[in-house]
Amino acid sequence: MAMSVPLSRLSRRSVLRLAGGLGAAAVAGPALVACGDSSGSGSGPSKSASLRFMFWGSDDRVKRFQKASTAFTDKNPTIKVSPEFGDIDAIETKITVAMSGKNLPDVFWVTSDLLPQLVAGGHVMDLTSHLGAGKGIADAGFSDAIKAPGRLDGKQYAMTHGLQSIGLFAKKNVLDEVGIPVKNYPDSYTWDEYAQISAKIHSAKGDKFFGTDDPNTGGAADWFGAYARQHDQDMWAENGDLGFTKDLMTEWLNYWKNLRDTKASVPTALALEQNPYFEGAPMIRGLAAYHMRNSNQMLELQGLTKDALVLMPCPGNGGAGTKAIALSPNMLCVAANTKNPDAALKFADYLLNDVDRAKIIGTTIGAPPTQTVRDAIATSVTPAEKQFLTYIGFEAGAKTRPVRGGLATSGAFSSDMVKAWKNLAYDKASIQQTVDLIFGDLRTKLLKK
Amino acid sequence: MALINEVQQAARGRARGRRSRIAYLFLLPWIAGVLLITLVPMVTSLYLSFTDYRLGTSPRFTGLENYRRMFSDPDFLAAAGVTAKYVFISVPLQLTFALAIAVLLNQGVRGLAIYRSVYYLPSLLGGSVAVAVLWRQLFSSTGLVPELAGKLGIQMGSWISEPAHALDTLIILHVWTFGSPMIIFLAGLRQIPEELVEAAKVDGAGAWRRFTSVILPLLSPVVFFNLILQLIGSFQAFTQAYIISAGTGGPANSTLFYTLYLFVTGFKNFEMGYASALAWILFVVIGMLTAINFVAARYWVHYED
Repeated sequence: MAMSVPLSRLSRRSVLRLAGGLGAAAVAGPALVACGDSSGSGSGPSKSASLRFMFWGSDDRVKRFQKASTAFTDKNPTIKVSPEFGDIDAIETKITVAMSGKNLPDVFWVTSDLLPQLVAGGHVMDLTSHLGAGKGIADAGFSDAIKAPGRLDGKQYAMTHGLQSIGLFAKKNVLDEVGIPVKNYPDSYTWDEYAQISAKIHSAKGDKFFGTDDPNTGGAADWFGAYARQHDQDMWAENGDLGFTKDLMTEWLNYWKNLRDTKASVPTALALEQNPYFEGAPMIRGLAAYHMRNSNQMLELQGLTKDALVLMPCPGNGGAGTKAIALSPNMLCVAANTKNPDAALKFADYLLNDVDRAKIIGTTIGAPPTQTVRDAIATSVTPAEKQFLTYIGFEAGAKTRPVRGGLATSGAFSSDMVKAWKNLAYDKASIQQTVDLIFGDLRTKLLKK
Repeated sequence: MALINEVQQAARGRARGRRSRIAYLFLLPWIAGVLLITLVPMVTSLYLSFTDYRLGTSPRFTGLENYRRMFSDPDFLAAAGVTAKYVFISVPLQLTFALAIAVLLNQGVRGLAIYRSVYYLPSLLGGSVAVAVLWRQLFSSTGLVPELAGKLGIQMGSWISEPAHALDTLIILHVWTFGSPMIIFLAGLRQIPEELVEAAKVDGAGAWRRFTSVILPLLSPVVFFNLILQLIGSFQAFTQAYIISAGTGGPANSTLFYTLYLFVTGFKNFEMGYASALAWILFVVIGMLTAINFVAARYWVHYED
């Protein structure tokens, strides 16, 4: 009824009340709306093969992929490719929303955490019957270990697009100054050596310089995964349950507590005042000698410092530990409901096998999955990229145990576990409490159907 | 004559009907928008809040399970606590600051338009990614704020990554964006009849007495309006915490705003059913607080009419 009052007769009271009410509705509504089920619309049937390709990465990577997409269309004039991009978190969100709205891009990257969810919902194409010469995607040179991360229940749902793994970066001049040797495959530091070296660097370089950053608080669960594999355990058991013991987790957390206590690692608050990777990495900020991150970041990290960087194996992954090496590649999927399956497979094949494409993209997405393509681009890359190619070449050829995928809830579990590790590092919880949480509530959530 | 009247009435009726149809035609995009992108998703989310629904799967009805779960969810309790602290500290601080500046600007300063624009600017930028990034730099251990504090002999580390202080930086950011309520206060102050203030002055009332006994009561509807808007807006703060904590609500949950937790639950952990329940609790809490404020307003808000 208030709406029928002529505007000229509105009192101050009614205007304010109306505005307040509208304000409440306008401001509170979106939170509810955001959780509603939005059904996205597809791009509609089209006779011309028009593909959407979604990936994540930096501006440089975007430019490279735009160029590669144009080069593909030049070779295949009937197929137009529209790249869609953003940072990894934004893309993950976009993919989950698109998955819900059945509006996934034709070809897209996927994280290993998200893949089980996509497979469970039937959103990605089973590529098994499309692999092989003349079948859609040529897979010559893709070893079983390279294909394993994209395989679930014996079927190939994703293909490795860029090979990467964890790697230990260091400023060579700091190591030389303190008298610490560089380790290359097949050797590596042991974990005990790494703790001693990191403490030694702190002693030698003064109070404001530390040996290493802490991958646990840096948000990278892969390093614990490597530690587990070195102890013949794993992140995930065959049934999707936790693949490691309480004792191992306790040992790992004690190891890093010791590094924090001895100031061998960067204090948590100092490390996390910036996002602890790329320009925010303590090593790049001049706070630490070592940086524990993904090996394919070699080119970008080298671009952020004038000091020469070296890329070394994860402690414990050398010597007798090479069987523990695990690749965590960028993977490529084709949407199950793509309207242009042949064109999508052709584009996927181009992204995976074309040498010209590989030269355009370089190593920013990781190394090409096959040795043939890696060799083909080796002559046109920078020394930093060459280091990375040598590194990943060893890992790709190593005899390793297969990596097991997790359940659809594994991504959320990993995030929660990293959060628990951070709380521990901030002394908000004890090691015992952290382990109990991981094996209690977090495990229950992981296993919830 | 009667026939002419009937014909005229019929013509007027047809014209009114035509005008109504045209009006509804113009309203149609808005009505369709409200229905399709507000009401339907709202009703859907209400239903989903009673289900176990992970993105990409089918919802399974679980009754009140999501609502029960909240009481034993430490992150929910942390998020509620952080948000309550943020709202109940930052909103009064911001409104006080905005009112103080508005009163100062209402003293007939020269170049008022410039001051008004300059002070309003942070309101436009406050919720933006750029300012959140700037804030992160300002309060890091090597940032401008610790450096200035150091020159004054105050040692402060990185507030951004210290659980004890991270939320303080977000409260300061919120207070800094006082421009929007300030503009509204200024407009309200300008509407206060000058003769009432002059009369109080003639009666011997000092500046403070004039402010508390004349200006503030007359301004109370505007204070109320600002309070409601800021209260609701603060409950839904998201961008600042998302950027400053890199989407985690850290360090150690110290900036885990309710909306951030809702986002993480829905779009990172894919628990859309639980996220919907979280959204509805927020809606209900905001609604209740708004209602309480409207009731309380009877005792302190004075309208001229």
